[in-house]
Amino acid sequence: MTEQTRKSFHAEIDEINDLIVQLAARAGDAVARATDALLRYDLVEAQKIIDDDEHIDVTAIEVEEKCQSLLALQQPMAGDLRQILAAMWITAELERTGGLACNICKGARRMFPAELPPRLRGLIAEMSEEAIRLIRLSVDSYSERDAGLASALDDIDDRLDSLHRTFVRNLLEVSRAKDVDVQPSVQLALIARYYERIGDHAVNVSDRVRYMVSGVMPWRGKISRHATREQPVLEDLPSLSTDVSPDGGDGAG
Amino acid sequence: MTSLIVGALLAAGGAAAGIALDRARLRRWLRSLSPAHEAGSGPRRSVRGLVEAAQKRRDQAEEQRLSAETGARRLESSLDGLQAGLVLCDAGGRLVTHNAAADIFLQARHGEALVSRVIKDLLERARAGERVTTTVVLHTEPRRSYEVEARPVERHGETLGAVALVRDMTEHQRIESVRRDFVANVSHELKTPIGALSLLADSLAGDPEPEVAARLAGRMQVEIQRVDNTIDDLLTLAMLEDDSSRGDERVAIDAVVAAAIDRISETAEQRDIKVIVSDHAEIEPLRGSRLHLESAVFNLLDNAVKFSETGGRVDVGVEVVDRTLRLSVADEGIGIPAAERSRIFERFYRVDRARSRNTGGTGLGLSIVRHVALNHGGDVSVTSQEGYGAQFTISLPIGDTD
Repeated sequence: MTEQTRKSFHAEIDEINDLIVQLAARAGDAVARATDALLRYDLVEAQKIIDDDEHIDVTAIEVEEKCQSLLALQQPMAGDLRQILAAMWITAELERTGGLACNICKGARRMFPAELPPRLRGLIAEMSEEAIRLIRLSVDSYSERDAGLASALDDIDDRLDSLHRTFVRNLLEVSRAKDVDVQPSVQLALIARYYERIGDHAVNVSDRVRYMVSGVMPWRGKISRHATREQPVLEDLPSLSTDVSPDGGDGAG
Repeated sequence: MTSLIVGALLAAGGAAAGIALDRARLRRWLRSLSPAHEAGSGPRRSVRGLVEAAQKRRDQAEEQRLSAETGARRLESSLDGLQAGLVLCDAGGRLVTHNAAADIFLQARHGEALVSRVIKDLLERARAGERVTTTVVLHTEPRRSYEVEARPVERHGETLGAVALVRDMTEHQRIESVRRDFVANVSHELKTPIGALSLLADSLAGDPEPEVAARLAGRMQVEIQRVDNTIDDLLTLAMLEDDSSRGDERVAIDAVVAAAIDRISETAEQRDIKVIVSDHAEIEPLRGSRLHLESAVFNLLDNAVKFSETGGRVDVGVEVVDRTLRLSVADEGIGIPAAERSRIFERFYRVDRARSRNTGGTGLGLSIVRHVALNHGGDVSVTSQEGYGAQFTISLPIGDTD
């Protein structure tokens, strides 16, 4: 009898894992589609992506409910408990990632019909690729229960952060040269921020994976680090004098 | 009497087991004891018949099981040979089997997991008696597009389960869009100047003022030049496709580069763009057509200059790596969007049609480059970061291969 229960418990966990993999696949796909819509000025596609976000929400709720009933009916302990808690948290992160893809689409809609300067287009494509790569890696770490990969994700995310800074610097340059109007500039700044946030969510997923595998709570360290900061650090503010392009600047736009 | 026979049978059986524990041999032995035509009559034979009948039934069941097993195995391996993914579920919705090609979906961790979801959804609907087909497009790299088809498996009106087939449509769709775009683009390239000519001719026929007429005639010449260029390029391409046109001269690559730069220099100077050739060691001549190679390099230079900002620079690199000549042309222009990079070598393909009308060109330049490279046993590739420029590299094998 107990073996029966255990079996169904693990079957349920497998189902939850499958759903999370699907959720991540959907979220990654939504980010890729949103980038396409943005770069192709395709508002119809943008609307479709926003509509399709409902699938992500439905799947997320499905996972949460499965987790809830497992917690209530099986009262799992230790690793099993961590597994379910992690699944719930990770689901929330992936659901937010899907939401951010929608935000990118809305940004694309608001800045229409402004044209993007080529350099910003290139950086958006790169940020998108990098964000999707992070989502994939975080799912890999989840599926393989690979705490090592999970803890590497924070460092891997640095590249997306630096792309984000480069983007803001370039955006300031082109908007100062009046190549882009204020409204699209603001939207572009927000859009870049969304990509950067998607990376952060992937890092959060990997933090939960580390917790699931080993019980450590990486977010605790982050909070205590945050508490020691009295003021927000402004080191990230882009300095305009820095040369942006790796191969020497040629007039942008 | 009967007990005697049974005893004999048992003894003989024991002896047989002693000789060989092979069941097949035992069976053969039993059969030889009682030929088929003898069996079935008389009380003596009835016991033997019973034993034999039981044995026979077991034999038949064994044979059936074996043949079913080999049949299933044969079926399985032939399903594994299929390119399409195949998933079978029973009437209760449990997955019964799937072939090797379906593994990538059922065990997917990334984009393909979406296909697996669709497979399961469609199987569910097929079990209810529906025949459904859906296309799933994966937008993350590498982009793929799959067609999933599911239908019920029925016998004598009873649903035994459902089967789903997954076909990779990526290549099919790529070819389809190349074909569709080609037809659209070729008519655009040829009809736009003809339409313009027709309008200009109409205006001329209206007997305008002499200076207006002169301007109209000037415009007509521009459009005629455009059609003329397109036709020239089309003819060049047709010639390149004809294998016999493959040249067999000894071509010094430096001379080819120099000649191409010479042709572009005037346009480059007008826009203050510097064309710089990298230093390199002497390179042995390669076999091929000097004319074609020159036109390939010129086309790359022409593009590089066209898409550079005024005052920019174009770098020409020549180097030999592993008996392969790499001739690269790099600019610092607007670059090429990632999504377009795989398509720019298609005939008449334009990244941005509105812009290319201003920059001129026929839309055939890169197709020509590619054909020349292929004809010389090489290829052409592109790398680019949008906004930072693009680099095209022609790779050609060096030395006589005969």
